[in-house]
Amino acid sequence: MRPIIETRGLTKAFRRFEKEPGLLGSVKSLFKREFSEKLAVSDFDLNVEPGEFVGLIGPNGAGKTTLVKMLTGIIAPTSGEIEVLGFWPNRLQNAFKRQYAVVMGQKSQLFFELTAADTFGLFKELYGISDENYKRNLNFFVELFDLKELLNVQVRSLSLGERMKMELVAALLHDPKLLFLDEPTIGLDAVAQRQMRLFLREVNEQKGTTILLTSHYMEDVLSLCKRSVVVGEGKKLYDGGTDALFRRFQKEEGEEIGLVVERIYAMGEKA
Amino acid sequence: MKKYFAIAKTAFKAQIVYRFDVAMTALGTLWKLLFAWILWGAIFQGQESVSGFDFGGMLGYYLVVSFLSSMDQSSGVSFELNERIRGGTFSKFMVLPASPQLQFMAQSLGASFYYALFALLAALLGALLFQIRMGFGAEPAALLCAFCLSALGLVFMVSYHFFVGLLAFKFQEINFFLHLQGNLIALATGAMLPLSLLPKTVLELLNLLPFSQVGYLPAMLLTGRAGLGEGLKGLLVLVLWTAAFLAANRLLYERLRVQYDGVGI
Repeated sequence: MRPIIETRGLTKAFRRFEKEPGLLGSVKSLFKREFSEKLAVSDFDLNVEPGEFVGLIGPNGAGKTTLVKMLTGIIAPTSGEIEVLGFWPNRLQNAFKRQYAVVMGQKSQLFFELTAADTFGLFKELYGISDENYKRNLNFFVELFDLKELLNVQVRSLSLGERMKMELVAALLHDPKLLFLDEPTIGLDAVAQRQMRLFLREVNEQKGTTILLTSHYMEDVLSLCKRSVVVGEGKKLYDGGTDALFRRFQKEEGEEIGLVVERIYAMGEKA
Repeated sequence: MKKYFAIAKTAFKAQIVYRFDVAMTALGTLWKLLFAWILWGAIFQGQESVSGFDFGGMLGYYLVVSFLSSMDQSSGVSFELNERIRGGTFSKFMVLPASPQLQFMAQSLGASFYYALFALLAALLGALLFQIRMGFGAEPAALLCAFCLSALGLVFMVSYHFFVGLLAFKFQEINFFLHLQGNLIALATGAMLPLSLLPKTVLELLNLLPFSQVGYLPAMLLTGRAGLGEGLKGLLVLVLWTAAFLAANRLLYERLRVQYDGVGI
């Protein structure tokens, strides 16, 4: 079977504006701009097979979100090869965009002034979802998340946990083959995080949706992803079983996850 | 097409959520008219006409122009683009299976429809309050031409503001420029004052630009101060500019969006 995501030597370099501190530095920068180059993702090879649930782990600034942005076509790679669902993502063809969904914990696709049902109705038209599929999917997700009472409530007045559930429903209404999740449980309480995990597992198992998950909550990755990819300073440091990764860095049984994660993140410094 | 209609409908729904804002919107056209009544009332003291306008005619002009400018919500497009591109949330429009230009167009036209409803009510009330007798002396074809100019004008203005907003990909912060060009456009569309008050050469130059066809010309047609010939000439100018901007936007977007780094998300 052909991989759903395939990258070879994928690299993204950002040009960053820099200036000396203080007023003089600001005035100088008005006349002479100085830039530095930052390699956010470097020579990255990745293959993801259909139906996989892959965790993308790494400290802040490791390049995880940049990688997701390239895979979704939001930003263009500097060099390397990339193919997602058979497309070059940054061409942003509608045929490509209809096949994936992206949920970023700190960014919303919902209309805050309206109800979630209004956004769902809009997405039905945007993705050309048939009446039958729309009803079937909406019922499935509403039941799974117990959202019936919240559908006609203004999004602005929903709690963060309720809103994130709605974000996920909006993303999944069109039956995407591939789902990108960037910190979907950020800021959620323990109960909402658990519900979110149950929901994602159900979607992956029942619908066969391939999921690429980026999260700082290691419980998310441990309980959902059989496979993990560790990213550090833009490079791939590990690609393999999540259990094996944790066994490798766990020094004793029942050790706090945070300590294990610290060692995993330190992989990049040693490399 | 159906998806863009759905976007317009959603934008319309989002506009009518807050009742105080709905009431203020309805009053917007009346404020402008009241301002024109005070200002031009003072100017017309001691003189019968200014550049061919009597006081009633001038108020009639402002009534139409206020209605049209209330309906045009396109400036929001460039401000939103500037903010979203710089803040990194423009990606919301990139991942949806629809053209960003048409998404913004549908969004703006949906809002325009809302403003048109309330501005029309306010304009009718204003006509009664200020006892403005609209000329409507023009031939039906000229009135139809005014309608076409107004409708196409909305499309043009969105395409123009989309073009301006795209510059944020290149320059990142264009807020001051947006305010500056906003004032120039208010002048060039005739929203500030009838363009016939300007020197003839300036008017001739403005007639070659699209902005006067969006506000000034439809108002002149609707008040019976311009004929079908001028209307058709204006329509041709506007069609050409609109086609040019729509095409330029597609090219510019494809060229500039690769510079987008989506920071802040």
